[in-house]
Amino acid sequence: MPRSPLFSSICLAMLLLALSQAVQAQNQGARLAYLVSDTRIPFWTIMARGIEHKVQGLNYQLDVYSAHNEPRRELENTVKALNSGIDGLIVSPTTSSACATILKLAAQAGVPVVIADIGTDGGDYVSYISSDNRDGAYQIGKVLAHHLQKRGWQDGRVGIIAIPQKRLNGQARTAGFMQAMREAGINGATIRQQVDFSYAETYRYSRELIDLFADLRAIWLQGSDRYQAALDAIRDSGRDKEILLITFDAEPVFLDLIPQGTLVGSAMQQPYLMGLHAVELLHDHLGGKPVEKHLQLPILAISADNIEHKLPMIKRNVLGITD
Amino acid sequence: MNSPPRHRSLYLTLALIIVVTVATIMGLQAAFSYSMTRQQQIEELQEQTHKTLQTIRQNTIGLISAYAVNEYEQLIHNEMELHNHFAIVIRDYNMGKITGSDAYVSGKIRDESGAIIDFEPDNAHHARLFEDCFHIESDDVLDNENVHLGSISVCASGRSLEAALNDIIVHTLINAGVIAVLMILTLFAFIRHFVLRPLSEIVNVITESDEDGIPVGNIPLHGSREIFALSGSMNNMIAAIKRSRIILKRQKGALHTRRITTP
Repeated sequence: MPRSPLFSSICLAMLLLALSQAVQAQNQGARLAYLVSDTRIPFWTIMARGIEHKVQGLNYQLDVYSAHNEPRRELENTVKALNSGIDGLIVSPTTSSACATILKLAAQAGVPVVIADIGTDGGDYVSYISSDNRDGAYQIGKVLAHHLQKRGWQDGRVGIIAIPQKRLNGQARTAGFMQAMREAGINGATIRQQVDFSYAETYRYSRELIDLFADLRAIWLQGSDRYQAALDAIRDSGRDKEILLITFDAEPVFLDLIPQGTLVGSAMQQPYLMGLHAVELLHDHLGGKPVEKHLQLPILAISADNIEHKLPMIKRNVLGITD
Repeated sequence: MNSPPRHRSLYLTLALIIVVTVATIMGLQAAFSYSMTRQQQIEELQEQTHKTLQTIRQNTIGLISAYAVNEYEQLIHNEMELHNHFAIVIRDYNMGKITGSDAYVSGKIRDESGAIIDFEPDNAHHARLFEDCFHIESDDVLDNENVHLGSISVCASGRSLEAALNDIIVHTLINAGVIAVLMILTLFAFIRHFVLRPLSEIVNVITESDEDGIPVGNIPLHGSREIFALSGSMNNMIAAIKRSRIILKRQKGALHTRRITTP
């Protein structure tokens, strides 16, 4: 007797429900910990939110430990987490060097680790998730080049206020962006590296670039949180109609500033998505499945041209807004 | 009838004297050289161990204070690569407080193949290797206020010293062997030329004798002063014998003639 499609669908749904419950029952009581460098920084808070969301879905227990960017506290958190009998660890370390020590302690405790961003100078881990900084910077460089050409400013220069270039992600960002500038035939001005990441520092660097180069047409800020300092410096120089600002990463206010044209665009990492993937990878590993050793997530090159279309993705994956 | 006793050749005697003398002298020289070089190697190794200890101590004060474990482990790794130490171990009291132990012990040690690996404090094999170090030097790490941050131990390998000494033994033996052979050959050649050959010539001349056993020829006069004097004296002696023999023959002839003529 042939079965109706409705009956088959109900059977399939029940099977999936049963499977889901079986997975949840299997993870019942299993505990994970997330060691994060500093939850006062929105990027990490959003990633933590992604981790928490995925952990709930898989029925793990989760403890989140913020180091507040202090190496001592980070190690104390590591020992505390490992001594609490966790089954797996996700870590966003303060530095790649500190990560090597965390991995060593975790290996001694026999706890598998997934690294979510920053990376490590050594040690063994299950998987490392990062953003494709070079491609993201290349894509946002192309966006800037397009805007400069549209305005007929392609003969002008572009200055960079960079994150420290000893960091691999900093090097990758600069290399990708400069490639886009070279391809468009746009000259670079000079590069200033952030040290204390303060408002005053970004403001000072922006003014130096503006004052040094009369033909400066854009500033690329390799971060997001000090965008206001760069905007203020451009405005105070009286050249706000002549110099564009483009950034890396995202702040919620960018959803307004980019459509308004105050910012040309921004290359946006997807911390929430990274958090989700980190738990998935650890879950697969604990379930005995093979996992990718290095997972690179794409960076969204967002400008006024595509922000409306990409808005749901930006809200969820970049800003962690799930309501 | 007893056979005449066999006499050892002067060649063999001289050869034996030369070989024994040269071998003894070269052996003593090699032993002295080995001993001196070994002492020098040990002093250099101790000096290098001390230098490394001081370098690491200076550089780890800030790193231990900053809980930068990976940084000081990297520093240890670099020092071991540079100076071929066997092991370097750090006891970090700051990290010990975090891990709930007296000290967090970490460092680097060489495995059987000489590769640098992590020192594992709970590994009995590592602990035994470290205790059996040929030379070990330790020092405390203190901050500016003389607070104990930790301690460092640098272990110098007996392996590297043994390898160096083995090299020295091989080189010393080869050198001593070559020098000994050259000395033996040279000494033998000169002694043969200046002593044995003139003596052989004297023997040859003396051996060629008439029916009365008196050498027929003269011994050539050349060579060293002593050989020259010996040859001259022997020539004089042979000439004297020849003369006395002629006189004796004459007297014997005269006596024979007198007997015949006397009734």
